[in-house]
Amino acid sequence: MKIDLRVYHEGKLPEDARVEQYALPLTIGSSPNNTIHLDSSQIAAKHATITSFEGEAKITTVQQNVIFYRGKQKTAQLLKEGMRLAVGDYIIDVLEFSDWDDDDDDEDTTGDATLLYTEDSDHEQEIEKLDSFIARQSAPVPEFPPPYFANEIVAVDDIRNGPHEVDEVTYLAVGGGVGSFVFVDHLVIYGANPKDIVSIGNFEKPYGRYQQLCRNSQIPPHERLRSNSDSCPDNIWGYPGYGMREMYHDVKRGKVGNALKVAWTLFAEPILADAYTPRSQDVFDYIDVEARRIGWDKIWRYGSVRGIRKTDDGRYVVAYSQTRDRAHPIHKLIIANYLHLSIGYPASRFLDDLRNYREETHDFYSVVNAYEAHDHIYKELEKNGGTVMLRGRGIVSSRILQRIAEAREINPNIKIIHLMRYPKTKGNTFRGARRVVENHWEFQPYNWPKSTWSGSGVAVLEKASPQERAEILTDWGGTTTARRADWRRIVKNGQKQGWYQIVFGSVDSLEKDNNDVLNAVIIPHDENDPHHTMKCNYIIDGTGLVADISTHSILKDLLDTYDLQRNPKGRLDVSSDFEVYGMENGKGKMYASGIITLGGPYAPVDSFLGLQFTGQRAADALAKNGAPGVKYLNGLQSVKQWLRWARGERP
Amino acid sequence: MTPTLVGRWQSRILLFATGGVLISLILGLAWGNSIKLLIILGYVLVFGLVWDIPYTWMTNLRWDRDWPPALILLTGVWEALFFWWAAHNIGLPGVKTPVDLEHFIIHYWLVWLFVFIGLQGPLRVIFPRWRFRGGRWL
Repeated sequence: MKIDLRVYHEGKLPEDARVEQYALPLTIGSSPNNTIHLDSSQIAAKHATITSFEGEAKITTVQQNVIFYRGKQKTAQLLKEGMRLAVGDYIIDVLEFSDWDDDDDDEDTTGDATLLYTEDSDHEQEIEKLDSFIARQSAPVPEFPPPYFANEIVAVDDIRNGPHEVDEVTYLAVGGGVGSFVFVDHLVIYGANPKDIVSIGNFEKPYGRYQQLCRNSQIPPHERLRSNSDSCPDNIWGYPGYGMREMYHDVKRGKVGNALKVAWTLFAEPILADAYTPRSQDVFDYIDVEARRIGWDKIWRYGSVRGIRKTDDGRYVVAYSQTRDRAHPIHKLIIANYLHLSIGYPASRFLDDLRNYREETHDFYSVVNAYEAHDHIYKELEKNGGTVMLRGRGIVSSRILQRIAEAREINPNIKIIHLMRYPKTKGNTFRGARRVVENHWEFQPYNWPKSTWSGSGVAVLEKASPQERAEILTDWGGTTTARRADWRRIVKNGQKQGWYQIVFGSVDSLEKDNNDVLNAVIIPHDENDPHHTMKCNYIIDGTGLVADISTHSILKDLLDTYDLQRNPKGRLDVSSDFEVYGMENGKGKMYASGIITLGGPYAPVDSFLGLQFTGQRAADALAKNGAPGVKYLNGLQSVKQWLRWARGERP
Repeated sequence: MTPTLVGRWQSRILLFATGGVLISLILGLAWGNSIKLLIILGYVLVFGLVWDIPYTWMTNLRWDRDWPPALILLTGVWEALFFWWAAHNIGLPGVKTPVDLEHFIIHYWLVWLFVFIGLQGPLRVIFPRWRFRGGRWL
């Protein structure tokens, strides 16, 4: 019997953890020779086993160790698909059981019969068997990245003479997500040979991680993203935009009415109509088309990057692991002249009170981050009703509100407490303009004011000093959601009908009572009001993803090794070409994009259009520096390349 | 689009100097009044460059500092009315006897349509940095 598990640290995003298939039985513990090795002081060297018996899988702890299920301590638990367990500070999602055929069962029972769980087996005997099982599994773990990674500068001879496979390329895009894809797309269109480019990442599709985050935060394929029509990761010119393409396809399918609606939205946005935004699945499909056009499948390779160093010949070496099966580790090195780093959000963020509660109780079931998989909450709500406490008032909270409103159509016995830290009756101001507020939700079509992508805002920020940038970003920033008629209606009707209640304050403490109900002690925003307890069944934290770059091991290693500067927002300090200061190495240059560069010369770094802007800047800088194959793109050459794009021909 | 003042000027001059001139010449050939149409085009351009100053000021009152397509249409109507009024009441040199209203409407709105379409995308194909620079192509 086999089982698909997703194992990840509580502070990390589940999207970053690979789903792996394990053959049962297996062992879990903090010593490296376990099947699932969880590096944590909260986990015993030998912590638990998962075994199968008569078609059922069961997790059993070793000695006094405990695991947690739905916030309760357990020493044994039958596993079912969709279950979420906590072992120490790690989360294990049980996804799927497979391979029920006889051959496999035979193999299980003959190979590791010693570990099969039986109701009456003697405990001491079990431990003994477990020890011998672990001993049989253990193998020496070779050091990776290699020992010379302790140096700031690595000798190329050492790399070549080592035991690991080594590749040498011109361009390497670390991350393999949308940021890497957009950068590589620029390089190829600017004339670089795709054979000289490699991108390393965890997801086969450039949008793999983004798509997971979308799904978890309740943006199914047919729902629309918060993105402009012209922000096209599949087209460096942003023309034709997604709006025009949607109209074209609607007309082709005979849906003239829909096409006219899109046309009206594009013409009237954002003054007479809500802003146009593309459907998530459409964007993914278009990226697929462009990926095929530039040969992404040959550029991308699976791997997680383990370390980055400068070499003694003005290049960079990247250590990466392609291990899919723990028993057969695959470690490789790759040397590149130019490096691009685009790794997205380093981790998920939790409000302090929720983090404390989760750490103490290991209840990852009823208290969740909006970016974690949490469909079980909606299923339970639809079945049994209940009260949800929602935190945060950004776009993710709007999506969750919409999803709960959908659940209410199935079961009207659902209530929402929206806990906001303070009332917001007036929007932010910047040089005479003010943002609109309604019901304490602040509206803005996209996550930054539109001018910051392409207008006066770009110049304002680029000219400002680092300190001024931090101040301007605070004025422009803040949590906002999009002005959407359906969301405004939900808020209005919910308040009128009493199932949506806004409460101002913060949580002092949180615990579960004997009836399995969460009790939150609220410190009201108004100091004169007394503390009071609010009861709910679930808490969904929609306050977002954290971008503190030191939570990412690769970035922390770079910051420490090369003593890199941080900008006033605490992120990587980059030039207006998005070159990382302090990482230059002779002719070698390292660029970055995405949220890890926030606080620099450009505000909306964490957006499709922002990735296009930073990709263009980096490609322009490479062209200026005479990087192989890369030619500055403008005028006639640009039109030629665009025609190739339009015809679906290779660049 | 979220244009800046210099971006507005550069885009306007470029689009008038290319499609604007071409449309004027073609229509002028058909109607036999090329010179007059070109003079009208010049007036509309110069007035437009001046109008761009208050437009930019108005943009700054908008939180997103954008200039939605609906406003481009509105300003198009306004600039046409202003030119027609100025031609008849101020007496602009070179157009003391303005063209027929019918000719003016066809000429003006064809040029407007060319500028509008140009601003909505094709300029980006020729100048990939145009959209990030508030409409500057130089």
